[in-house]
Amino acid sequence: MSGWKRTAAALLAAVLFAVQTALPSFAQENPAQTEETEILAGELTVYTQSKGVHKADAVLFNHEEILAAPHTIASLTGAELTSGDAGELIFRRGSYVVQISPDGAAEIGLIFQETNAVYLYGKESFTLEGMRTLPVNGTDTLLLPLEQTLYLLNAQWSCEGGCVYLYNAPETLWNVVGDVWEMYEDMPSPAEILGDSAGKKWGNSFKYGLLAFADEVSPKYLIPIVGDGSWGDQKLKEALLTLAEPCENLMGSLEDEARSDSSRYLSDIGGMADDLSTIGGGAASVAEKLTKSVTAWSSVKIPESISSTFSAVGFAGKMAKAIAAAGRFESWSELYVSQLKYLSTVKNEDYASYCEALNKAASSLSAEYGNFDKNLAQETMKAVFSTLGSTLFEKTPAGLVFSSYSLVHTFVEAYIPAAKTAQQAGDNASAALRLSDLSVLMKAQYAQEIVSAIQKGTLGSAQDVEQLRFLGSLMMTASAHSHDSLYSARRNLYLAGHPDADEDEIVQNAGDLISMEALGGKLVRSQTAVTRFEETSQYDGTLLLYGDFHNLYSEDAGSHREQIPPEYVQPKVSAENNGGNVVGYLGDVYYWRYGAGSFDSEGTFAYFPYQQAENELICRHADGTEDVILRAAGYGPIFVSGDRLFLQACGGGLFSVKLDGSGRADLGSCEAWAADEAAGTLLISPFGSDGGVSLLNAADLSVTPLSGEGSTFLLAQDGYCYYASADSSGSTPGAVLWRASLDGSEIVRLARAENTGDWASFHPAIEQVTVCGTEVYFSFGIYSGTAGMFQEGGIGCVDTQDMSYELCVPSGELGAEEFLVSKNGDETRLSYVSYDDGTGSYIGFWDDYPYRTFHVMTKKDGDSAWTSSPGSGMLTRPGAFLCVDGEIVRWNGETQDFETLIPKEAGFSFLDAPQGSEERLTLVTNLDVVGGWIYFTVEESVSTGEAFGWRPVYRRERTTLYAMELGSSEPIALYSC
Amino acid sequence: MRKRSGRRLLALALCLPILAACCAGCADSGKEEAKLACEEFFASYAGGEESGLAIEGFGASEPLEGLQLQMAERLEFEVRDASGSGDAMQVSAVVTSVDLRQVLESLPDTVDSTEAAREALSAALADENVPTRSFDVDVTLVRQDDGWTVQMTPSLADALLGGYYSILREAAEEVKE
Repeated sequence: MSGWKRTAAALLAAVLFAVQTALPSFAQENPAQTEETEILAGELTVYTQSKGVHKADAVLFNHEEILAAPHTIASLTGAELTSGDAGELIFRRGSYVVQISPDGAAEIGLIFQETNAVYLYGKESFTLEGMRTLPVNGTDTLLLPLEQTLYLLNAQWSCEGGCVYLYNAPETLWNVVGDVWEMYEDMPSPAEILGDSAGKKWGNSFKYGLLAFADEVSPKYLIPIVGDGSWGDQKLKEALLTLAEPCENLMGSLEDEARSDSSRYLSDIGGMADDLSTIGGGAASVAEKLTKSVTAWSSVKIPESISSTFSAVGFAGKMAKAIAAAGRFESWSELYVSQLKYLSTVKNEDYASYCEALNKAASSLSAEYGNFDKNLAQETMKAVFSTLGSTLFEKTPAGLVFSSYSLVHTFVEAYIPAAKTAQQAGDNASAALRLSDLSVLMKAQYAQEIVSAIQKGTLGSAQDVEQLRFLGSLMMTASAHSHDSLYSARRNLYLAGHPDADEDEIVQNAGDLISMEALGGKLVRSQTAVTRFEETSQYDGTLLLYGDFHNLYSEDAGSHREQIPPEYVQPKVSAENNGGNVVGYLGDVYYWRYGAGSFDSEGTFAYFPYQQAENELICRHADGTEDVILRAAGYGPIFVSGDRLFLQACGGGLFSVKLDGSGRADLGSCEAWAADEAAGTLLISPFGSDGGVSLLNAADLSVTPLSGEGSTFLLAQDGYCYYASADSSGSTPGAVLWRASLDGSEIVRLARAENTGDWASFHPAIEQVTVCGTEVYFSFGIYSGTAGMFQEGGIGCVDTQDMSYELCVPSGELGAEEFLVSKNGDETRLSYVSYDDGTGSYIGFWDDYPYRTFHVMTKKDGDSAWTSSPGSGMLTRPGAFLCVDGEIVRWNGETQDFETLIPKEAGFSFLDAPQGSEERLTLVTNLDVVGGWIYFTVEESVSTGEAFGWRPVYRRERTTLYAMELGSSEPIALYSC
Repeated sequence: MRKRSGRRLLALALCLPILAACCAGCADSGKEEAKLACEEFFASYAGGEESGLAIEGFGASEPLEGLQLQMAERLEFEVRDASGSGDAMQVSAVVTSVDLRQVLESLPDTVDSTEAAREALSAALADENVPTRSFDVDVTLVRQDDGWTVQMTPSLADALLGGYYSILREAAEEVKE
């Protein structure tokens, strides 16, 4: 095969054998920190649709180059990041891959069915200038040039008021092309269409045998059936006319399914513009820019009568939606004429006589209806929009697609009276077969065009992919209409014998060789493919990638990229591990130093509760020197906000001091939950059964109550705080999961959970929350008994985009509160301990143990059902540290693997699962990671020989706080008591 | 002068057949290559692989599976002559494949579902005495960089699949005018 295919194999090898390792260290030397070299490790304020306005780590090099870590860029673009055998960085957005070698050379490719890869842009040579390894917060960090990498990943962005507004299209044409084999699987099956005819001719068993065989014929062997035979010209014309109509069943019983299936591929430019409009300030002008620049249909003029209906509020969003609707309407109204024109001249040597018949029929139609042109479509569009007014514009993107589709074809129907003929004639099977043949012919044309586009090796303009889109779209349009015709045929046949049948009965019984549900699915997916082709046209500008990056900055429609001002990179104002036992802030580290009297001397399971005692608050500097900044009865977690420290008092309560330990303020009987150190606020909750959430302002220590509900803190992440409260409002006691923004501006009730069965009369506890993209997963259940065993529970999930809720693991089926959820491409993976796997418990020497028997559920985007199978390996909750084979490990969510924090070489004698019969025990009681260092407390204890019931009692011997650089095995003892 | 012209003409006359022989040799080698590629294609197909098929340049060449594999394993072939020139060749071949029509006609009346049909078909294709038929096929090959690849055409698809498309065409007569 050709050279490009051999090199594609190399790409394939790299992709198939990608090993998810930590980022490799690169051979490049770190630039000497001379006067000429300046590195600012800071952050950018960015906006993305998924996360809103947030901070992203960035580095400013020599005052002008903006760099970012690969995982940061992956997060900004919604790409999956892995690394290859040879240290390559591999970014994937679906089937689109950008692979960056350690020397900065970038290659772009397309992966088909995870088994084959081809190069795109073979004639371009991309090298990322400015790819470097620099010291960031004391750790050598690989950094990529931000703008160039975003460019290769088809991102668009605009800059305003110190914020970078990023827009990532759901997909581009390359992603659609990458799914070509999946689309082939949805094409019509002639055996399904002709099954009845075969049955009449040769009998039922022949019919079923034919279909069984057809099911196993690869799409590579598809050919037109009747292409070589004599064609009735009238029949062929009737089949082609159906392309002008919307699929009858998509506008009928399958409409909801079709909208839902298409929706995940539709960009919500209007929604984003709305979101930006509400932010205010610079964002509002970005919203205006967005509506003009991001959509490719900006040349469509909205009639004045329409624009005047928009009020000032939400104008940008409505404008974007209007432009999108108008663009789709215009695009689809022109499409049919273009399709006829193409079919009038299409040639293919293998199907020569078929093409002749097509040419003749399409020419005839084109001549007859050829004055259905752009101007007429626009005039009609204006009239339609002015009568509809705001009704259309409030619809969701998916709704807009279907409304536009319906509108344009209503117009077509009025203009071309014969368009209804084919369906009304009842000859659906004939149309289905002819359209099936058409789709196969288009498959051959499309395939040739894909090869041609790949071999071109570069794109001169967006027009270079126009033909590719056109052919693919026509292929799937023919496919959709073929399925639609067959669906109608089956439906009408059933109704002929059962005139009173309702839709459910028809779906249940009308199918024969293929169920109505399966046929409907193929129809919906074929239509979704058409939508994908059409929808991605607005982003063709982002496909124009060149090795010299000459169009890196662009204001072209659909590929808007502005130069990011270097001053947008600001120094970080953030605390590391805020709320942990060890917290880093502005280069210093803070922790409590305890004494002998700080703990109970004896405890069951070697757990020694804190006692009322005066402890020392330490500030440890980067050079290793330490200051005692405070002596007070405080312990445990430390929060930083607004240049103050917030500390937990022995015996309960919260108090605060300045960074030097002065200016103590007592804040009463409450606990801190989550800090926004940049904003200088802290979310707190009062003790007591009423609970509630308040916002504390660090500047003046004022407290503003936000909500009367909330008693259990669960998670603080990405600008939000998740917490739970007991709820007695329903007939069954429940627990409610809440989410509050760290600035207190937004509190949302996410979900309510209940126990079932014997535990229904008890309030469940929500135990663990994990955020995966826009989905919030949580486990709930009940602990009981003297051993404190987890009895049973469930796992729920809320999609914060539309607040839909799913009970992934029904109440009663969960065996432990710990679970893991991850997303790999379009597949979500949920690992959990089912009731059958065993029940979880927290009564033990370690806070957490790994589960080795558990289940894994997986689901693809858009699917409603999960697939469950036994899991293998270990499972624990994110953030927990475990003892495994004498080493302390923790789950790393980025690498999706366990990482060793304290290796055996560090010299501690940890036991995985102490039984309580051991004379001496060494345990880790706290572990925090700050600035590339692990701070961990090792507690050595001896057995007293006694027990409290079944619980063994130990006496504390020594407690030592160690610090150890990540990846090393040489701990430094900070203090012992 | 005449004598020299005569000798020159004779030399040219002698050279021409040699030149013609050389060109014929080039064309012949192309035909031989195409025939060999055709044989390799059929051999690999009969062995359950799709090697040498022009699969639009981006599809994976995957092993055959299921009923199609069972059918392929019964394939016999005889490559005959090649014609054409340049980058396109036609190779005539006789392909003996399972007679799908006869196999389907022999399925018992008790087969009343696709699942039952699949099992029955698999059993029938595994039978040593499964009926076969021969197809005369003109295989189209095109030159691609470093070799010849086979184009999937209606007649080739029909032959490889035991007359599957012939059956469908016959059934399609019911829905044509």
